[in-house]
Amino acid sequence: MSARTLDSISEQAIDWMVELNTRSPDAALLLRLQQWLEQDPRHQQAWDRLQQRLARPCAALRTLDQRAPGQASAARSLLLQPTQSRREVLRGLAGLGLLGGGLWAGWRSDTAQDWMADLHTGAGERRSFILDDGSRLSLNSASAVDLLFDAEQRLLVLRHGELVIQVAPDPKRPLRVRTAQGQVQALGTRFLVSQELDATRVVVLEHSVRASLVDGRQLDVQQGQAALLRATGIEPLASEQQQRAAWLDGRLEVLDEPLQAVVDALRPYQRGYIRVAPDIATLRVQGVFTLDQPQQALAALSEALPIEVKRYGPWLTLIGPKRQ
Amino acid sequence: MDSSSTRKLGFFFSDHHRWLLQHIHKRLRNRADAEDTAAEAFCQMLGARVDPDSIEQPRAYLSTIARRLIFDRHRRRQLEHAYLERLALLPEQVAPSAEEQLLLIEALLTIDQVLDGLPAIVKTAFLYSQLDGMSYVEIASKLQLSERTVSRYMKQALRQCYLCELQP
Repeated sequence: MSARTLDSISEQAIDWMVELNTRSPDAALLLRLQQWLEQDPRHQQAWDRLQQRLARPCAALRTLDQRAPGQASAARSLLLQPTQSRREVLRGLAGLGLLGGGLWAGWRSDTAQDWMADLHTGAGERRSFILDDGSRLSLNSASAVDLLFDAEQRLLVLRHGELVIQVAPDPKRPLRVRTAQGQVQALGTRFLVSQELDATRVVVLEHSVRASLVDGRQLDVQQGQAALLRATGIEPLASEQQQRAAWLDGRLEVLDEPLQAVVDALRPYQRGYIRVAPDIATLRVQGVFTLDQPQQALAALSEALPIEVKRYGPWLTLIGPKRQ
Repeated sequence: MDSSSTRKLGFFFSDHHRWLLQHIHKRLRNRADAEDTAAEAFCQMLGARVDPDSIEQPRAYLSTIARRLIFDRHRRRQLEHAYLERLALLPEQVAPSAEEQLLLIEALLTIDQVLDGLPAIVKTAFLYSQLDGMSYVEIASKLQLSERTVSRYMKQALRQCYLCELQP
């Protein structure tokens, strides 16, 4: 890699960057830099590449440091932690032939652990279960739940994914659903719980629930209402959320959501990888889609929006802006 | 890339996909991660405009890409985990929001990827400048180098920025 040489424009951009950092830049230097940038669009491109790959990420880490001093140097020491470089690893692994089990022991994804969960569904699968107490539990695609039922309690641990539960009444044993952010206690009821990236979504379909965070803060959520549980607090949601349970009937109903969220909802139903280009991820979407036919849903999206869906075999789909 | 070479890559992958998936699966022991990694391998070939006809030993070629991707995944998770732990220690008033955290982690991973393979002293000098905001004079005295050497290290790090191929 180091043997490769750079074109002269990239070298110039590097010289500018170094000069800018050597001393505090004065007006004259900045003016000369501006002139260089305007001289040729390729100058600007080379400069942009430096900005994007290093300057901007570094600036992001420094911004936090202004608010919480010490964070930039913490990031630096993490980055400097001794590690084998990729190339060394390639050399090392070639000798070993395969990776030892120990190295990877601490690293198992949700999906691997699903197989040890009490109840789980695979990609594209939805299932309903009648629990021992008579409650009816439905799991959306790629979800996993553990059950801890005893004389005092009925506890469901949602490892990930999404569930709807119709709770059988039992005044002696409260039913609770625990997630990464907190828990939702049934007050005689039917409700939806969804484990999202860094939040838990609760939608009450009948009666009410009491949502609480790990630190004890709590909120009662009534029928027809919804809330997001985050580490920072419980946010009641103003918008209509009942349609989120439409997966029970195999449908995805979207009132007004960004494309990325719609693709995320289809993802558990689609084997393989779907990548959405960042510049179209925020396009707004409305519509009703069939979950069991994600390809059809994507086709419908590509008719309604200025996007292009490219499939590379069953395991890779790239969604990008439509080319004119 | 014209569509015929994309199609050729498509054939190449349907020929080798099952083998690659099994190959990765043995190492990751997890189907979903293995599928992601196999797909990433394809994305990389697509991005690098590789002509499948030029590959003499497809399995050796693919397993090399896969090994690097598996390592990257591991390194990324380690970094991400360690950084999130740091951030979790911050008092609530200054702690970054979930969205900010994502941006910060992305920034950290990008820098890590760009600087990968550089000598530790070059990385150190570069990060002192870009993260700690130290001047070249300060860095030179801290690392007991000449100012000229510090400039040279900066150039080396920046050059890598053009030469490395970032994963999408």
